[in-house]
Amino acid sequence: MDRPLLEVEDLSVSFRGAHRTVQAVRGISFSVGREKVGIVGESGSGKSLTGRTILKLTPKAATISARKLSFDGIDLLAASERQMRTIRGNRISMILQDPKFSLNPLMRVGEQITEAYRLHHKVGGKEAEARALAMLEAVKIRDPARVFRLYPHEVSGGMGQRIMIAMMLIPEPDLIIADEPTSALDVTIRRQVLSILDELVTRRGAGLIFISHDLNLVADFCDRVLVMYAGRIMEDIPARELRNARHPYTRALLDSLPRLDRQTDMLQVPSRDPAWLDGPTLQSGSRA
Amino acid sequence: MSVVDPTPAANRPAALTVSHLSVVFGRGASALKAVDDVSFMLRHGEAFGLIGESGCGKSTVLRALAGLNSEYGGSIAFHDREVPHKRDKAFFRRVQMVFQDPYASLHPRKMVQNVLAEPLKIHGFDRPQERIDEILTAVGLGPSFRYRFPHELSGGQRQRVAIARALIIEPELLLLDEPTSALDVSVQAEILNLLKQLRRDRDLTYLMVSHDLAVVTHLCERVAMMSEGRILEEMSAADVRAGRAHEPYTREFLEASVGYRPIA
Amino acid sequence: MAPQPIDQASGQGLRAWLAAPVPSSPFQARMQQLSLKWWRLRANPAALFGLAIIVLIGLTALFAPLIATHDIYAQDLTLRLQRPSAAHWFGTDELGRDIFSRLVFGARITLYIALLTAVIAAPLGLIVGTTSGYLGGWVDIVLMRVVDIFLAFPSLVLALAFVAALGPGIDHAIIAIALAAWPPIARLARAETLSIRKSDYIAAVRLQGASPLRIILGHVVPMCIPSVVVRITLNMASIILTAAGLGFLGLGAQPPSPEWGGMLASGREFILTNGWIAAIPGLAILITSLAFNLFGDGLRDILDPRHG
Repeated sequence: MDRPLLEVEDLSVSFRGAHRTVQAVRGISFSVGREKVGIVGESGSGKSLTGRTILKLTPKAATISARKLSFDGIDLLAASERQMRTIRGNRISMILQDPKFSLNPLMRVGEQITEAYRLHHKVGGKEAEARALAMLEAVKIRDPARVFRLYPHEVSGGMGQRIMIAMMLIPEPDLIIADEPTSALDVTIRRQVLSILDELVTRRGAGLIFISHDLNLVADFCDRVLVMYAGRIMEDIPARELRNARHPYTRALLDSLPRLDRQTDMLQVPSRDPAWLDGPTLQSGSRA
Repeated sequence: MSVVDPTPAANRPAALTVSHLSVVFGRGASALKAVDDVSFMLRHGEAFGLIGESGCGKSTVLRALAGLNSEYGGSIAFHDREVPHKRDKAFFRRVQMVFQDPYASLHPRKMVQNVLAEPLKIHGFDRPQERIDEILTAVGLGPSFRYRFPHELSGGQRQRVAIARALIIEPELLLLDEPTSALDVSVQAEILNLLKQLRRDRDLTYLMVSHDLAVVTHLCERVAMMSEGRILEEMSAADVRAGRAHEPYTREFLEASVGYRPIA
Repeated sequence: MAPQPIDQASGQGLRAWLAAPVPSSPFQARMQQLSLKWWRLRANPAALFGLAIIVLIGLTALFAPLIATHDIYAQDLTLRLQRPSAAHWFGTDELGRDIFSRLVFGARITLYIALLTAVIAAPLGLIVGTTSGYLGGWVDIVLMRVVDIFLAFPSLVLALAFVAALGPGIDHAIIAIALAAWPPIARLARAETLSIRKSDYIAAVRLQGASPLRIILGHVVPMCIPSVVVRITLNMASIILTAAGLGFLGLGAQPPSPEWGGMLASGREFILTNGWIAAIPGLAILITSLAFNLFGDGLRDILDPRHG
């Protein structure tokens, strides 16, 4: 079994405020190999922050501590900002939620993709453009040459997200962190975008961390699921076993969702058991 | 509070009849037909869902029905009487709306008490303080929330206040614009339960717009699939659950909503 | 989940009342919100400094008769152009009048001008701007063209024109300055109204059958007040300077009134020989303007409607 791409041990992130310190992430441990791992949780669970912490893109007020935070043998915790810059967008990429906000509105789409490539590879303009066009084709954009010259506001949500994927995958990263990549998209577009992401990730043998609030989506799309609550990982479970999850929080979340295949009168409202804040967490299954 | 009418839904009178509704934005060459010849009927006590993707026109239909947009073609009849394009107070007394974003639908500077007192004042209700207490209890908040400001409330609490505001003048028809899509998953369950309970207790009629199929089928008995300003087809909730759809677009939508399956 | 206010331990009295998680009256709720704003202001030393100066000037104006050491109109030509000394803390002017006492009473005039102008210009601008922005159509067109006409003139020129038409004097000066100050407020209120108008909470109150009047006064105006207050506070500096300018030109408060601008004007002849006669009122104008600017900046931070 090869070494996992990302190893996280006892990661904590806290914010020091005026009156008290907020522990946003509390001692989580997990690892990601060349697989799709979903991190699921509600707002405030710490899932987005975890994704950003891996890339050390946290706000200034945040303090990160961990026993181990390493990517492919590189100690991310000890890495300098300069070293992180060679990793970001190159070996680890991040896809954000809404292309409206994550694409530069003043630059043409093609320029942004070539820039993403040339930041880490010394190539001439023509070659970068050729690669960008190839990438646009890889994300199933039908007229890459035309789209290359468009501005972000001229493309639809689904296409914008595919452009974002092209931009983030062109340097061929080993690990991709996707933070709610399809939450802003319609269901039919979502399927398209996820298929593309799936294909690209599998083809390159990269690892994917898929952060979402949508339990069902993550159960279908990912190989493994981490359920987060109040800054901790409540359960670490293979995706296909999610429906049989055992931690009461996961069960409560699953039971509170309206189901298409089953008619219920009243949904079960999850009650917050304070024991979950510090109680035991569950890990099942082994990594593929 | 009215007792729930035991008459089966199919025999109840029509509450809302929409005939050939059309809404056009812009003029001339850049005119966009947001709603194109939409017709449907809603019976009293029913819960009807409009589903579709962004841009299909479902929210535009809702806003035109609510009276927020008075420029539309076609006719809208409430209890078999056509409503004027510019609505009057009597209409608003019987038709109210709950908006999508609880963070935007409450006035940031007004206390809960004032938010609820205002519609009472406009429509001349008596016993305002009692009514405020009653409705706050009915939506699960309680009178202690009177003096809170919106920024002190969570998303779920704000949405409850919005529902209270809509129901305090005892309307008959409630228009719901994606009432839970901006809320956390666990809070969604609370609000959906509340909406279901209120409908039963007060014999309300619901017209709900959503892009989430599971949510819509949970609350509504019938749904209409919209795309590009048109209604493609109407189905019962049972049909939707079974995946029984005629139109290929509807089928694609239903499939995509069930879960992620890689495109072959 | 909205952030909860920090509990102030188990303090008694005012602190506990302000920190109570469930307010039991509208007054308590509003005071709680106000106290939150006050805590935020305290974190801004520059704004606090500005506020302190304003309060100091206010107190000076209020208690002027008690603070002033001499009669402000008493002339003594044998004591003219004295340097600051124990007898006359800021010296005497060209007519032998005590500058310190005149400065203290001048604070009254300055504040009178500043506040009255704000009281006229702000509501006027607010009403015009919100009505124009909310109703749109020809109302908007007409009102905004009127605003455009006013805005086309530099404020001092406009004030001069009005004073020239109405005659010199402090009340005419106030009207003139107010007429120059309201158009930018109207513009600002209109811009805010245009975006407020589209929000769901306005749609909700429309759906209750509220009349446009109720919506404008009860819903739009409260949302515009913070930015208007900030704007007017920041404008105070220019209002005071315009008043001083008019006074300087002899068109504002008339002699022997101790208005700071007029004092500056009469001290002009003696700038090289007896500089303090001009410098002291000039410094007073500067400090007052600066105080309003600093306080206005702090206000902007705490009155952001997004934070309630």
